[in-house]
Amino acid sequence: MLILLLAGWAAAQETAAPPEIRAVVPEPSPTASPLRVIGLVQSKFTNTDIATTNPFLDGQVIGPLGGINQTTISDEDIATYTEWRVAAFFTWTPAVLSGRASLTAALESDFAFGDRSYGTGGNTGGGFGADMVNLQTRRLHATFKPLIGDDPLTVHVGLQFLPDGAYDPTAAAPDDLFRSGGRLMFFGSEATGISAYGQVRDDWGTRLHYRAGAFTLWESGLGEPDDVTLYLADAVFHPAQAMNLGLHLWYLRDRGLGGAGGAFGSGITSTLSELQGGAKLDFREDGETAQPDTNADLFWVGAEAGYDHSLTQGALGATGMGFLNLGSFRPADREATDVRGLLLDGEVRFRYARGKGSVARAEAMFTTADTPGGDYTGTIGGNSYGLVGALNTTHGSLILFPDPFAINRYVSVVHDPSFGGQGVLGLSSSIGFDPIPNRLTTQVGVSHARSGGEHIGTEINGRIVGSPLLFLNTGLYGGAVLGTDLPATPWTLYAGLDWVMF
Amino acid sequence: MPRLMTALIALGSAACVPTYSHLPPIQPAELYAPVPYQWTPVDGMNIAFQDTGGDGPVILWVHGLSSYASFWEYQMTAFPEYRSIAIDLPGYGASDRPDAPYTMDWFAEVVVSFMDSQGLDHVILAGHSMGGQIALTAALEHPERFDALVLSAPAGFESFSRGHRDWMSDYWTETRAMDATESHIRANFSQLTFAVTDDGVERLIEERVRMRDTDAFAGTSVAVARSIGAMVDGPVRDRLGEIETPTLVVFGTHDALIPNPVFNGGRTRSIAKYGTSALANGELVMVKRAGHTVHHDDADTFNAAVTTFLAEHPPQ
Repeated sequence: MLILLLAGWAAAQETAAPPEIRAVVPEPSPTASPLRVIGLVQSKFTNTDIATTNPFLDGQVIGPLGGINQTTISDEDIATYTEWRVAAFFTWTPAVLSGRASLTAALESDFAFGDRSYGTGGNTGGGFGADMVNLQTRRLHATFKPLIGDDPLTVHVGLQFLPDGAYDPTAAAPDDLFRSGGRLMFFGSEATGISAYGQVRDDWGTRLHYRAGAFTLWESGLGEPDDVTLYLADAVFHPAQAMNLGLHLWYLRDRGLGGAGGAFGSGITSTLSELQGGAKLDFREDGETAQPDTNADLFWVGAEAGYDHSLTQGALGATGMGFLNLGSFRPADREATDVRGLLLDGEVRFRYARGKGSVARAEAMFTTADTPGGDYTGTIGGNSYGLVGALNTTHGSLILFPDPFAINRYVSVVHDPSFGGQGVLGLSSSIGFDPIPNRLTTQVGVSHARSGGEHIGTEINGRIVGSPLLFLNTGLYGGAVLGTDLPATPWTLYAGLDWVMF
Repeated sequence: MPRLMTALIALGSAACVPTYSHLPPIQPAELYAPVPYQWTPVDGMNIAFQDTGGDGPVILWVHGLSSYASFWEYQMTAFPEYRSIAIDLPGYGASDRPDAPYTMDWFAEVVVSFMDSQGLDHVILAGHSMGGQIALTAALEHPERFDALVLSAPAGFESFSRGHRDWMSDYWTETRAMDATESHIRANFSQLTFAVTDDGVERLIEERVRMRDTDAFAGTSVAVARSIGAMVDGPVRDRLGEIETPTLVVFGTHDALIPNPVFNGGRTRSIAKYGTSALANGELVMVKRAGHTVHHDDADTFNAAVTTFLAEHPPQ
């Protein structure tokens, strides 16, 4: 009866005309803690037939298998070791500046279990009784966020991550870095300089990402005009949903005379370039033992197009990019050598079932080869100027192309896209499946490399990776490369763990 | 193969996707309604609802988080033997956005008060997602008021750790929903909320985009933030066995939100089976290729399942 009485009263209040809507006003978001910390733990327990023989390079081994890093592959010797990487990223944003400025520092320690005690040098430590002395600085930069209308602009000054695209690495999703711009194949490492990352937004969303940057890759002698500097301008337009159209123009001014860059030098004539699988040009003439002093002016002109490179909009993602290398090398007292190289890359991904890992992908990467005499017609990137200067992340390989999960042993058959200036056609494909969506992923892959019509190697790989906790993955990875001209079949089998702590 | 074809079509038509940001804002009363809106005072709030009228047993449709009555557009007139009433919960659609807790218990009491206001002694209560959790909560507190429950991808079956709950509460501030751009909104609707996009979804996207700069949507943003915190803080998972009301549970196999892909992972079927089997009188229907808004993605299958279920469990 009470309900009926209430109903009768309520019916009298009902209306078909809309009343004025009353709405609560949101509370402003609480002020974030001025200190933000992100931790990273990586671990690998590895069995492999790839061994290092140079004690000087034992802490950190980089470069092509069988190259001057003195790695060996043997059917008889199996290396077993455990590596760790622990890193912490600290960002301090003083509240008094209302979020307009911050300071970021990142510290990292890489070491192998039982490596040595009181050892010096990068990537060593962990021995019995060890007091760890290995602590590397990965980031040390101030960040400013000036107010320019409603569009965000972020300026980093100092030691920072240098990607080869338009997305701010401190805010971008991994695929924004891995699958845009140069895909980190040209530049993907720490560098010191100034960069400005901006966006132009409208009510629809972000229409443009852009970056302008200037970095000193090497300051050889203070006050001397002998530096290696890099200038970058990048823009990625988003004309429609999930679509990227990008243009990139970079200029590297190398006045280091080939001698900058520490023990290995830097530039196209350096041991550093060769160590990391890049091209090494020899400008020596008969009877000369040393390379002539060499300056360079190098340009990269790139274009990219992509649709849903993060697979956040649908099942299909496709990306393509091309970068033209231009410029010249000028060895002293010799004719300049012009540069005309090209890198092309295309990738298609298709999510065919539920789960982040249920994706089939195929990628092709092509670089032109240098031809003897005349111009340099291969490609060149950061591997000729820094250790490690570039990454190659999306192929899914473990040995044929460098494994992005590497800690202290970053080795592979085709280590740099230029393949020592010989050019390469790299093909990779994989198919993954999540037996438990977003918790357990399995994947098998095949990758293949050719150069000058010759077979370089074909890798078969597989992995099974679980995610028992948020942002913590652990799994088994294995791969072998067939058909190489190395003394034995290189293979690796490792258990890995990666954990990103927010 | 159909999935690949759909993806290729999506790629080909990406540049042709319509945009709505340039259009003038719309007010809550201008939202599309398959049945004309009415308003009634409930606990001091103006509550909007759509009512097909008729003498049949009543199905009361309760929408989910950040949605409103028109999400039931393919159900409202699909059951001619029943009187369908779809309510806009406070905080959403064309209803008031009061400074309220927006907890599941509070919503459940609002639903019961609304029934009182309409003279409805008992109804078949249907809920989607958060509306499903509200329905389960209401059935726990007022079992005598509900002849049956129809749950479309209901929340409340999952468990979350304390850390997950804190993280979500911290992340979903009261202004966060206001920050979504049109591209974010489209991605959310087309990839998370729905698995099948049609003209109805397109209209819902347009309405969401055109409402975002209104004072009313600022109130919705508050409701969303408080509702999320309340959903994870007030799970019904441990009390499912107490619900004896006949309950139909319908999930889509391609539900992108349940189980939570970030915190829990796993298969929708697993969590659906768990929750349904925990109910004292539950039945589960899985709909192939449907997503989180299963009743919209495959309305024919969903409606057929409801019809069959209600035939087996006729209202008193």
